[in-house]
Amino acid sequence: MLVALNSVDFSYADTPVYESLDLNIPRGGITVIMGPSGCGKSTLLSLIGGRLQPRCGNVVVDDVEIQSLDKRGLYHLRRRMGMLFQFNALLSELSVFENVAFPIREHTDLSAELIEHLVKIKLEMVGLRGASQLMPSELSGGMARRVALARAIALDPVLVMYDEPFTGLDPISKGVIVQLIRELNDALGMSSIVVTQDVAEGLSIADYVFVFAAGEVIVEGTPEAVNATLRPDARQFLDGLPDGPVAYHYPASDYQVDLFQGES
Amino acid sequence: MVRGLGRAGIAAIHHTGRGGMFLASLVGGMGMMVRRPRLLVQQIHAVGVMTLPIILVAGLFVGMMLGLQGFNTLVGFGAESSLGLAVGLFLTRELGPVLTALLFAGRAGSALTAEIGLMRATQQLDAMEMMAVDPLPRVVVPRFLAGVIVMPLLAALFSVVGLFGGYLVGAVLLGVDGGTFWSSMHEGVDVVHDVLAGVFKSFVFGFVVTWVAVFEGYSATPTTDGVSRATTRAVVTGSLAVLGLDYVLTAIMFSEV
Amino acid sequence: MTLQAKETLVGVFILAGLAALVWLTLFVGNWAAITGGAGYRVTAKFENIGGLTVKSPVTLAGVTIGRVSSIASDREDYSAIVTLSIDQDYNNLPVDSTAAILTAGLLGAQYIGVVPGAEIDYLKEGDSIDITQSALVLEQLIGELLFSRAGAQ
Repeated sequence: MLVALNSVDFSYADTPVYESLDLNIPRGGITVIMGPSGCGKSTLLSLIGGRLQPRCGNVVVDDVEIQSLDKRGLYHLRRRMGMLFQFNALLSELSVFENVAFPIREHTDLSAELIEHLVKIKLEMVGLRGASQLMPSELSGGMARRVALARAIALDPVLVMYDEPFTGLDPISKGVIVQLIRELNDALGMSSIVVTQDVAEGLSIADYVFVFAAGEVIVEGTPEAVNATLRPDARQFLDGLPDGPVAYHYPASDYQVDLFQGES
Repeated sequence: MVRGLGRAGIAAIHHTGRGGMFLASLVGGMGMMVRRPRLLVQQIHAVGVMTLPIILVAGLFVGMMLGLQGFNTLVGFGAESSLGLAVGLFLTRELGPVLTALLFAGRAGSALTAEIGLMRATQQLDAMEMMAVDPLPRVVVPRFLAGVIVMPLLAALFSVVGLFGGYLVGAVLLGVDGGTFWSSMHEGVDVVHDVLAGVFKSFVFGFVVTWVAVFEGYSATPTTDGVSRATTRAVVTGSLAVLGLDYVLTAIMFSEV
Repeated sequence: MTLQAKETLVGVFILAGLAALVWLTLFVGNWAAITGGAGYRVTAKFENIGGLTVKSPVTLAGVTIGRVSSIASDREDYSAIVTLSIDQDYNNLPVDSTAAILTAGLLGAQYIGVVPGAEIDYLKEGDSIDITQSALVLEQLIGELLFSRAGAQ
């Protein structure tokens, strides 16, 4: 197992997110985590990256228990992780080239020439070698996502985490990102965790799928197996039905009473 | 009502405490500046050079105003020969350090808060952490140090430009003897009690204003709304701190000479 | 803007700022408080110094020739001992010169006026001025005026 969560409890202030969650993510391949918004998908990535600490239970990444690490150890572990943020999080004061070069410059003492080679290789992989001198503000949404992807793999990590990689992209860019995640994963021999609420893209890319609802895994398995599930809560999410186990209406008092009580 | 006040008070104390811890970790991250002086140079440019025009223009006008007001007041006592002294004392003791700090809080302080706050809101700081780069020494420390270094320099330039503004109005326009202007200043302005005390003040102001600015930015709620509120808070807190500290420092340094 | 241009600007800025600091300390201000001024000190005893303070000017025929450098109280006769720091340029004051505490205008700041005497010897470091005239205290003057009026009636 590359990542293992063992009976993890986590809550934001008084809002519980997970209660004794167990989750194992295999080494190699692409693991997709799906679920409606607010079910704690992104929190999962923060726990794996060690940016949040569980209240109890432990998180093990690449055979290292994250809770046992001090800041130094944690930073050391993170060099083997790449992360693509939902809004790309490119450093706005640096050019495309410098963004991709950033982790390399910070963590290695390579010569300027070698860094240039490495960055060009990564940019070529995402098809943006020609855009290396642009600033992040000059990029389209799809291009910015690809730059962020190139930066996430700059140090050839063991594990890459994608937080909503398809959100806010046009269909062409979505297709490009889907293809890139697959190609990079296979070509570089990494493991990938993709958190998404886009069902079609998620299922098309996955080797293994977890479907979350309200902080619990409700279905897991291969994409085919998950797609064939009959659980009503999973079906509602996968088929995009407006009403079902997740109610359309926010809890409220009786409609009739609410409307007419002012007149009585 | 009482409970609300109590809660606000506790929140304020909590905020201040976090600011203090933040300052401690800033000091801890200063070692990096020795290895990466480029980062500091960049920030001195952003914080100092970019603030210079407003400081110079403001200094000139304030000096001219002092020349005019000072002349009009002193001429009533037949003491217009002391104009240089009055302008010199006002600028070196008070107006140079204080006005520079206020302008700095409005121009550079707000920009620092907004910049760091936006980096927080757009997850740039989170991304750095995930790339195993501590954003404190990489992003915050150079900005903080730049502010501390730059403020006394800006205040000195403000005073110099202001002195020439006062000279321009007093000696060139209103006819005070130029030699008397400079000699009365040189006679009455003391290096230790006036000039260096003013430099010390501006150093303290630079420390506080920049600290407040980077802390508010770093701890901003990561939303557009949060960043704009943090920016306002940084300018308000920074300016009030400058005025309050100015009184305290003046009371300590100038009370019984 | 290239990094090099920025670095140049920063260099110019820092040099200009330092130059401003140096100019302020060397040209605008004076070092009297540290060096005590290039001059000599004499003391003078007064019954009452009124509102005289340290750094008040010492004048000779209206020309400032020095400053009050310290003020103390005599433990024996309860008078005030004022130390005057006088510029070296004015080292030709006769030993029988007198000092008076005067007021600039009716209500202005107080200063010391020195009136030269006739002796051949000059005052030097550590000497004292023996003939002094204390400050006129306005409240006392008014009080005396009222008393004399009342007495006359």
